[in-house]
Amino acid sequence: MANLLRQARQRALQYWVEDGIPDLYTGLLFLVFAGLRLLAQWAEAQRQATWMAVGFFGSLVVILVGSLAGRYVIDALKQRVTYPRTGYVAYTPPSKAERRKQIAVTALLALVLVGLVLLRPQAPLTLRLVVLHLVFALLVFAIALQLHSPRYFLYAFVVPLLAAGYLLGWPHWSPTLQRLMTYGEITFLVLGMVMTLGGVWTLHRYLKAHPDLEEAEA
Amino acid sequence: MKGQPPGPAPVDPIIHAPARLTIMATLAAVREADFRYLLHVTQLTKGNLSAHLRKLEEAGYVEIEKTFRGKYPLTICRLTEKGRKAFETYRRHMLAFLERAQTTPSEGQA
Repeated sequence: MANLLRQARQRALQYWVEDGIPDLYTGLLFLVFAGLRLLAQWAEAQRQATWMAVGFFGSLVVILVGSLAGRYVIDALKQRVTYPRTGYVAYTPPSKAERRKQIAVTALLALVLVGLVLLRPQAPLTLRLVVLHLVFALLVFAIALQLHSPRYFLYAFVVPLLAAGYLLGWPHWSPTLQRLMTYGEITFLVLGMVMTLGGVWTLHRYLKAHPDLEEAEA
Repeated sequence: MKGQPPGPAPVDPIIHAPARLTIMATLAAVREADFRYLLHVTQLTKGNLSAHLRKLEEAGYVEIEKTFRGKYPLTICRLTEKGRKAFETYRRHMLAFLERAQTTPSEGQA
C-alpha cells in the first residue's frame, strides 16, 4: 500500500522528464552560460573590458533568469508538446518539512562554497576543483535520486568523471585551462552538450512513441 | 493481538477495486491530473476509465472539471477532501491488516 502511493509519486515525478524537454532546456542554459563565461575569460586575456563585462554579467543574468523562468518556459513547451499527447499533471507543492530540508541543504552548500572562497583564498586550484565539482555532482545526483531517472544518473556521473580527467592530466594543462577546469566553464560546456543531446534523443523517442495529438476524451 | 487470525479489514468497496485503487493512488500523489494522464498511467481504456471516474465522482471522492485548453478538451480530475481522507483511511486499514497477517502464526505451526 505504502509502495503504491510511493510508486504513484515516483511516476508523476518521472513524467516531468519523460519527454526530455527539461534536459533540453537545462542543457541549452548550461551551454549559453559556459559560452558567456568563456567569452569573459577570453576578453580578460585580451584586455577587452566591454566583452569581459558582457560575458561576466551576461552569464550571471542567464543563469539567474534561466533558473527562475525555467519552470514556466518548460511548462509552456509541455503545453504544446506533452499535455495534448500524454496528459497534464500538476504537482503538490512541497510540504513545510520538505521546504525546510531544501533550504538547509542549499544553505550548507552555499556555506561550503563561501568558506572555500573567503577562508581559504590561497587554497590550491586542485582543492577548489575537487570541492566545486563534488558539490555540483552531489546536487545533480540528488535530483537523479529524486527522479529515479537513469539519464540524470548519467549526468551526475559526468561531473566527477570530468573532474577525475582534469586531475589526472593536471601538470600537462596550461594555467588558463587549469582555471577553466577549476571554475567549471568546461564542465558546464560538456554537461550542457550531454544534456542537450540527451534531451533531443529523449524528445525524439517520445514523439515517435506518441506521434499524434489525441482528440477525443470520454 | 498476536496469535489472532487476521479478521477481514473494513475496506471501502469503492476504493478496493484495483482500477479505482490505481486511480485514487495516482490522484493522491499529485494536486490534479487530466484524463489523458490517467489513461497514460493506468493503461485503462477510455470507456473503462470514464466509468471508474464516474463511480468515484458519485461517491464524492473525485472532482471532475471539464474545460478547454486552446482547441483541446481538457478533463481535470482531482481528489476531494473526502476522497483524500477516504484513501488515507483505506491505506491505514490495509497496512494494519497486512501487518496483522504477517504477525499471525500460520495454521499447524507449533
